[in-house]
Amino acid sequence: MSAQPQAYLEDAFLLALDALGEQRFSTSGSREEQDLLLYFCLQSLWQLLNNAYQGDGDRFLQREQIQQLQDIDERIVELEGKLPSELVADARRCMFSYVARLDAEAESRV
Amino acid sequence: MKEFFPQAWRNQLARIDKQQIEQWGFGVIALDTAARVVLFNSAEERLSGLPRAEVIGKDFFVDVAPCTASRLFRGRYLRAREEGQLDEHFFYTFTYRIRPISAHVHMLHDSKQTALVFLFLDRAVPLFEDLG
Repeated sequence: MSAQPQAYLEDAFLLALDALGEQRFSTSGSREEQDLLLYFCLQSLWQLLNNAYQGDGDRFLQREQIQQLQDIDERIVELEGKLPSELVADARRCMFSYVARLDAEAESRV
Repeated sequence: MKEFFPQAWRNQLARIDKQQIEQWGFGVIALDTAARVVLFNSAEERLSGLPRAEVIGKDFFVDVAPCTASRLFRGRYLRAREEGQLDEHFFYTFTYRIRPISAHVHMLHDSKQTALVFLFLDRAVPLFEDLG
C-alpha cells in the first residue's frame, strides 16, 4: 500500500490563493484573466489531488481528503459561474482531451 | 476483496442485457469501445443519484464521471481494450459533484465474449451521511 499524501501543503496553497485574492492581485482592469488562470489552476489541483488520494485503488479516501476536494470544487463552481460558459467548456475539453491522450499513449507503451 | 458479481455469469457476459442487470442489487455500468455508457441499471441510478436517461450514450470519463479520468480508472479501461481481457478489483471514492460514495469496483472485460467493458460497483460506505 502506498503512503497517504498529506493535505497540509495544499491547504497552505489555497490559503495563499485567498490571500492574493484579498490583495486584489489581478491585472488592472482584467479580473477575468485572473479568474481564467485560477480556473485552470484549481481544475489541475483537483485532478492532481484526486489522483494522489485515490492511489492505486487500494484504499478509500479519508473524510478530510473528501472535504478538501469538495472545498476546491466549490471554488471551481464559483469560477464557472463567473466565466463565459463557452470558455469553461473549451477549457474542460482541452484539459480532458490532452490528459486522455497522454493516458492512451502511456497505456500503449505498457 | 469480497467477490459480489455472480461467478456463474463470468462466462456469459454477452447475455448481460437491460433485463438482466435489473435483477442485481449492485451497480452495473457497461461501456462500449468509445467509453460511452450502454447499460446502467436501476441500482446504479439509485446509488449514484444520476438518472439513467442523462448518462446513456455519454462518454463515461468525460461527461458522466470526470473524476475517473485517471490512470487508476480509465487506465484500466484502456488496458482492457488493448489486451482484450481484464478482471480487476479496486477501491474508488466518487466525490465529483455527487454525494461522496466509496465503492468496490470490479472491472471485467473479455473480448471473446463481448466488446463491452463492465463495471460492477458495490457501495461500501455512504460517506455523505458522515459529512452531514
